[in-house]
Formats: sequence, C-alpha cells, structure tokens
Amino acid sequence: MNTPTEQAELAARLRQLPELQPPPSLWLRTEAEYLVRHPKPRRPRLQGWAIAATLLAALPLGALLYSTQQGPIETEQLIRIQTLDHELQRRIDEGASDAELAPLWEQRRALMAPRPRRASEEPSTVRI
Amino acid sequence: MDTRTVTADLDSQYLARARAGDHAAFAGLYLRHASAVYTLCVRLVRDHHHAEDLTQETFLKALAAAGDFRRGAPLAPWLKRIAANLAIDWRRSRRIDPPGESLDDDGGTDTTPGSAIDLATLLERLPMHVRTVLWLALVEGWTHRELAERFGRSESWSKTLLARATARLQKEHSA
Repeated sequence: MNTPTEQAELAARLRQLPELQPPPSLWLRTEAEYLVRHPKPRRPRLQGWAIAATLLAALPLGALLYSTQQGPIETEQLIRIQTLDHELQRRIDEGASDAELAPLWEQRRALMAPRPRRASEEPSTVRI
Repeated sequence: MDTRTVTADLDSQYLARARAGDHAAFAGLYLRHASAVYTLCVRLVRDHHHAEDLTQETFLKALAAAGDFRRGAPLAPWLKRIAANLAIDWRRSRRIDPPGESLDDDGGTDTTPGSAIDLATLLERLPMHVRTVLWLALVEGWTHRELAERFGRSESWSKTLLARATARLQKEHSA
C-alpha cells in the first residue's frame, strides 16, 4: 500500500498532463443538437459560422492561420465580443442587476448576428 | 468580489440564458468549458470519438439540469461531474471491464525497464474502472464514499483500487 504522500505526488503529476482541445467539428455537432432541442426563432445560418469562427479563434495560432473560415471580419468581431465579455464581467463585479446587464447582452447578441456584406463583397456586373 | 466569484456569476448567466434558448450564451458556455470537459472524457473513456459524444451530451444535459445548479457556484466542477457520471454510465451500458476485474487480471503493461512511456499512456492502459477511480479521486477530488456509491461498491473497494493503481503507475512511470 502506498502513502497519502505518494498519492498526492501522483495527483500532482496527473494534473500536469496537458488539457486537450476538442476538434472544431464537435462544436458544429453540439450546436446543431442544441438548436434541435431549443428551437427558438431561427436566425440566419451565417450566425452559426460567426460562432464557429469565435471558437476557432480559441485554437492555437497555427490552426488559426490555416483556417479558411477566419477572415479579418471575424477577427474584428471576435475582439469586440471579447471586449464586451470583459465589460460584462466588470459590471457583474460591480453588482449590476439583470436589468442593468440586459443592454450588454443585447449588444453581444447583435455582435453575434450576421453582418451586412461589404460593397467589395457584392457580386459585380461586368460590362461586355 | 474576487475574480473566481465573478467568473462563476458570468457562468451562471451563460447557463440560464443558454437554457432559455440564447444561442450566443450557449456558444460562450461551450467556449469556456469545452476543453476541460473533453479532456476529462478522454482521460476516462480513452477513445476520442466516444469522448466527443460524451462532451456533447454533457453540455446538453447541463442545460436540462440547469435548475439544479446553484447560482454563483463554480460551473466547471459541476459540468465535470455530469461528464464523469455520463462516462460511468457509458462504461456500464457497454459492460466494459465489469466489476470484479482486478488490476492483476490484465497482465500488466508490457513496459521494459528504462523505456520512456509517458504518464498519459500508462493511464490509458489501466482498465477503465480503475482509471476512472484513480482520476476522479486524485484529480477531481471525489471522495471514496462518492466513488463507492456511484460504482455500487464499498469504500474499501475504492481505497484498495486507488492504492494499487497508484503503486502500479508509480512503479511503471519510474521504470
């Protein structure tokens, strides 16, 4: 039989094992199942991609660079969401009520909503 | 209010809103905790595909059970307890290394003295119920009483299993 000290040493080594990242596809599966079980008014499909981009941003930089879904628009959006999250956390820290926090949640929801296409992204007509 | 309390409060809000159908809040919840839940599932069931299924089910079950969550409490341990219970049920439903199997029954690992095998690999080689008891007791802080109840065994069974698994991992990891 081993001692509590030996178990504590093993526990410390086990805790040092690296945390694993789930594959990005798991979010898409989980999200799909969530939407089935919580059929709220459906938002445009693009929102799913915006959230996926947010999750992809949590991956190591290497994975980010190779991602085809993470463009400059999503990066900017991600930064704004993170800033808003910090603000939410700060307001909660100050003891803000749910009603006081509601506008921030609304802003966050708006940020997660699809963005209008830029002019440069619109299909252009070529005169022949 | 310290940072831990603030984080817990934010988690509570994410959980409540996600349960109410707030898609963005659910994404936030997943973003904050998916790695920890997935890591626990991999450690317990070893197979990455099954770990993905259990991770997904953990988040969905958490929403269904959100009423049981005490607002302001840390969310991660609660989520991981759901994940661990799902993993134990998963093992039971598949009759994986049913109770009665001892550490001696699998013949041990085929390590040779001096071979460099990392701790994660050694952990994977343990029978699932041994690995589960070891991980939940040493890393997640489950008590022997909780483990005994969950596995339908005695506390002495849990203590003995943990002691033997600890001895084996220490011996093989230092080999």
